[in-house]
Amino acid sequence: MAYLDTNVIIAYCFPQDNNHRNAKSLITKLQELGVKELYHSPLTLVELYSYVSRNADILNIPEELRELIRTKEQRVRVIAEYCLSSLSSLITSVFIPIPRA
Amino acid sequence: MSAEVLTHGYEYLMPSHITFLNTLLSSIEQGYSEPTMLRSLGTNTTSLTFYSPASQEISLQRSWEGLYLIVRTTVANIVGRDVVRNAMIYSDPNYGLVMRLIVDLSAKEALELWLRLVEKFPYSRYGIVLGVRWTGENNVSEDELISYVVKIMITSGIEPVAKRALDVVGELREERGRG
Repeated sequence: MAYLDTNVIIAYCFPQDNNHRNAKSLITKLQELGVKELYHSPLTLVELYSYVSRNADILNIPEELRELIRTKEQRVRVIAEYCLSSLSSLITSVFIPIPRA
Repeated sequence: MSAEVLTHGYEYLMPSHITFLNTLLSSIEQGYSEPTMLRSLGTNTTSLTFYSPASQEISLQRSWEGLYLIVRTTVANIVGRDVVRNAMIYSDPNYGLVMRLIVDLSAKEALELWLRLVEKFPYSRYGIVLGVRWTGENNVSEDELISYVVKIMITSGIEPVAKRALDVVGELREERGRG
C-alpha cells in the first residue's frame, strides 16, 4: 500500500509541473514493485480542488470542451475530476480519520 | 490512419464522395497511404497529408475532405444514419487542429457519439481534437455534462495545458505553512 500526497497527484496530471516526470516515474516504479492500490484521502481532495481553483485561470482545456463549461466552478470540477479519473485505475479512495486531541 | 477505422456502408454519401473515399481507403488498406501529420503545438502549422498509391501527395483540401468523409462515415455507422449537418475545421492555439461536427441528435446522443468517436480517433494518436455539437434537445444535467467532458478528455488523451510552468510542491508547502 502507498499513500499518494496531493502534490504527487497534481504533478502527475499536469505536464507543465516541474515535478511531472518525477511523479510519473514514481508511480511507474510503485507499479513495478507490485503496489496495486494507491491511496488518497479527503484531505487530498480538498487540496486538489483548492489548488485547481486557485490556478483555474492558467489551466486550459480545448475550446471545443471549454465552450460547454460555462462557469469557473464547472471548469474546476472538470480539471479536478480529470486528475482523479486519470489515476482512477490506480487510486483507492480511503477515509483517514484525523486523531482527536 | 490504420485499417481499423475503415468502415463499410457508404450509402449516406454522394456517389462522387464514395468513389474518392473508396480510392483513398483502398490505398490505405494496401499500406501505401498512411496519412502523415506534421503538428506543431501552439502554431497553425498542423497539416494532414494523404499519399496516393504512387506516393504522390494528395492536396491538403482533398486530404481534409478524405478525413471528413472517414469521420462522417464512422458517425453514420455508429448512429445508423447520416446525422452530420455540418462540419468545420479550425485551429486551437494550444491543441492544434480541431474538427467540429454539428449533428442532428439530442445532447445525450451527441455526447455518447463523441465518446465513441474519440475512441476511434484519439487525440493522442492523430493530433486532431474532435468536437461535437448538437441541434436537438439539451437533455443532460450539469453533472452528466461534466462527467462526459472528463471521459472525452481521458479517452482521447487530451491533457489540460497550463499557460506557465507549475510548481505544485512549492505552492502546497506555502499553503500548508499558512495552515
